[in-house]
Amino acid sequence: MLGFLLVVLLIPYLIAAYGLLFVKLRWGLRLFGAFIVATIGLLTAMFLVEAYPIIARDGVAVFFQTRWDPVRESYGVLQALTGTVLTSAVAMALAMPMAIGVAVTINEILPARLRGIFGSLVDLTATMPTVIFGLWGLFVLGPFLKDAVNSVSRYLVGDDVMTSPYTLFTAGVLLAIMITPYAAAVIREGYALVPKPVEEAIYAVGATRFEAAFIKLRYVRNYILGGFFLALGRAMGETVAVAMVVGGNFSRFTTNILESGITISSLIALIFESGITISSLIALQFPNAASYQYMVPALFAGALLLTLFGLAINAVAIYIIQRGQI
Amino acid sequence: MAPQMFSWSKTFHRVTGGKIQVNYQSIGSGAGAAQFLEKKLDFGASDVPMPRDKYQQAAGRFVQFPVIIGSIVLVYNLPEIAYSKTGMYLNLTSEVISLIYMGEIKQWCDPRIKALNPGLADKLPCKDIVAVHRSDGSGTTAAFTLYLTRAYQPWNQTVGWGYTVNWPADEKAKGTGAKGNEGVSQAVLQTPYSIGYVEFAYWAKNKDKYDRVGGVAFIRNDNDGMYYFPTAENVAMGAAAGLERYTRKYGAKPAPDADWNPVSIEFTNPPRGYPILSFVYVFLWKDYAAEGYGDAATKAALLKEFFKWVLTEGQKQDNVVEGYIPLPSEVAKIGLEALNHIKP
Repeated sequence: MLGFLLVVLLIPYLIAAYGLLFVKLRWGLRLFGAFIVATIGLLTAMFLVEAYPIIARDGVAVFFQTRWDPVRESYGVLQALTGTVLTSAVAMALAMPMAIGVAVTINEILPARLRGIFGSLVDLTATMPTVIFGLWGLFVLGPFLKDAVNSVSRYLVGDDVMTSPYTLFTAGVLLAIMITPYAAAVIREGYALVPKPVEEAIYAVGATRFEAAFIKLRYVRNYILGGFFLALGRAMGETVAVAMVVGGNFSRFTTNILESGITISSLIALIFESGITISSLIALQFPNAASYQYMVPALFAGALLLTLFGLAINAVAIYIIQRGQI
Repeated sequence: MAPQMFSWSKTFHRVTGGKIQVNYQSIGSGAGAAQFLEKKLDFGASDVPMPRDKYQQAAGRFVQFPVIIGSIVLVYNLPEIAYSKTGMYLNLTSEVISLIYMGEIKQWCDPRIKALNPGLADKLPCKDIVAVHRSDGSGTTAAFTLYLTRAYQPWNQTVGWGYTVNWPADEKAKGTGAKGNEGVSQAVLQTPYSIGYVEFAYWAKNKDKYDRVGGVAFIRNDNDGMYYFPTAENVAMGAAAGLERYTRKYGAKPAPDADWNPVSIEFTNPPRGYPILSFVYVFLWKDYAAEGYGDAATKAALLKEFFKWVLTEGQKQDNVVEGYIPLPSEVAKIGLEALNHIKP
C-alpha cells in the first residue's frame, strides 16, 4: 500500500518538476495543481480502503453511532465528530476577534519600529510544538478555566457547570490560542496591502482611526475569510494538544442528546463536559488499535469522515466566495 | 513499564562497559506485541500477555515471561477527608470500585462507601463522584479492568476488560478521561471529589500532593477479607500467592511457551496480598535464525545475556526504579528457565 502510494505520488511529482523546469512553465504548474488534487483523492481512497472492513460489517452506521466499546468490537465516530465541530466552533468564535485585533494592533496602533518585532513574535507562537501547548493546557489553562467558568456559573445558575478541568471547552480555548497566529498572519498581510491612495481617501473623508480600521478590514475581507479557513483547518486537525485536555469521554454525547434532544442548552452543557474529537480519538486509540479486529478500520472511518467534512466546508467556502464575489 | 526498561537498558550498557546497547521504545503494549510478531522488533514488552488470537499465530515459536511487577493504586481527591487532615485513608472493595465506574454509586456519601469507612462516615461529603479513567488505550486499563472482571461478576457482564473499555460512568455519572498516567494523575489532583487509577509509580512520586487533597485507597482482598495498603511487600505477597494458586490449579508452573492469559488471570485478584497487580511481560523468539532475523546467533546471545541480567542483578533494589516491585524469586525462575529455550 505504502509502496504503491509512493510510486503513484512520486512519479507524477518528478514529471511535474521536470515539466516545470525544462519544458514549459505553464504545463509544469498545471501538472503540480493536478498532482495536489490527485493526492487528496488518493488519500481519501486510501482511507476508504482501510475503513472498508467496518463499513462492510456495519454499513454507514459507523458514522451515526456514538458507542466506542472495543470489548464488544462496537465502534461509532459520531460523538467524535460532534466534539470536533464544538471545539472548532468555540475556537473560531474566540480566535477570529483576537486575530483581527492582533492584525489591527500591529498595523495601526504599534509604533512602526515595534511592528516587525511584535509581528515576528506572533508568528513565532505558531511554530511552537503543540505538545507544549498541551502541557500548558494540562497544568495551567484547564484548572484556571474550571475556576473561572464555575465562579461565573455559580453566580448565573447557582451551580458548577464544569466538574473537570478537561473538557471540550478547555480544548476549544486552547485551540483558539494556538490558531490565532495563523489567522492573524493572513489578515495582517492583507491589511498591509491596502493601497496607499485608498488609505489616504479614507482619512480624507474625515474617518476616525477606528472607522479607518473598520473600512480597511472590509476592504480585506477576502483575507479575513482566508485566515478563517486556514485556522479552521488547523483547529479541526489538531491532535496532541487536544488529546491532552479534551477529557476523553467517549459517550457523553449520547446521554445529553438523548435526555434533552438537540437543543441549544443541551449543546452548551455538552461543551462544558469532557468529550473527544476525531483527531484526538485517532491519536489516543491508534497505538493499541492493532490488538482489536475492527478498531483500525473504525479509526480510518473517522479519518475519512473528517476528510469529507473538511472538503465539504471548503466547498461551501468556495461557493460563498464565488457567489458573493467578495 | 517504560521508566524501568529505560533504566535497565542504561545500567546494562554501563555494566557491560558500553559494549552492549539495548534500545527500548515505549510504543504501547498492543503495538509492541503486534510489531514483535511482524518481526519488526527483536523483543517485545507488554503490560498484558500475548492476546489469545495472536498467541495462536505463533504458538510454540516464542517465549513470554514476566520481568517486573507493577501495581495499580486508586487515588482520590476528597478535601474533607484528606490524609493531611484526618490521618486516614479510604477503604475500598472491588465491588464499590466497580459500582463507582459503572455509575451506580454516584455520591461520596453513599451508604456502601460509608459502611467500609466507619471512621470517616460522618465526614464523607454528598458530592458527585468524578470517576477518572484513561482516554488512551493502555495496559494499565487492561490490568485494572481485568481485576474488576475477576473480582466482581456484574462488571464482567456489563463492561469486560481490555486496553479501552466503554465506561458506564461516562454516560450515567460524571466520568471523565485523561491521557496517560500523568494525565489521570494530574486530573485527580486538579478535580475535587474525583477518583482515578494510576500505576503505583505515579502515586509514589506525588504522594505528598495526594495526601494534601485526598490520598490513596486501601483495597480489600476479597479472598482473605483483609485490607491492604499498596506497599512493595503487599504487592509481592500477591504475586507469590498468585503463582501458588496457578501451580495448585494446573499442577505445574506456567511454561514459558504456553498461552499466558490463564496465568495472568490467576495472578489477578490473588488469594492474599494487595489485589491489583500487573506484570511487564517480555516476548522473545525461540529460534531467531528460523524466524529470519539477520545475524541471529549474536542477537540471541545478546538478548539472553541482557534478560539474564534483568532477572538476576536487575531485580536488586538499586536497579529497580521507584514504584516498581522486584519479582519474587520463584517467579524470576520462570524467566531464567525460558532463556534456556532460546537457541543460541
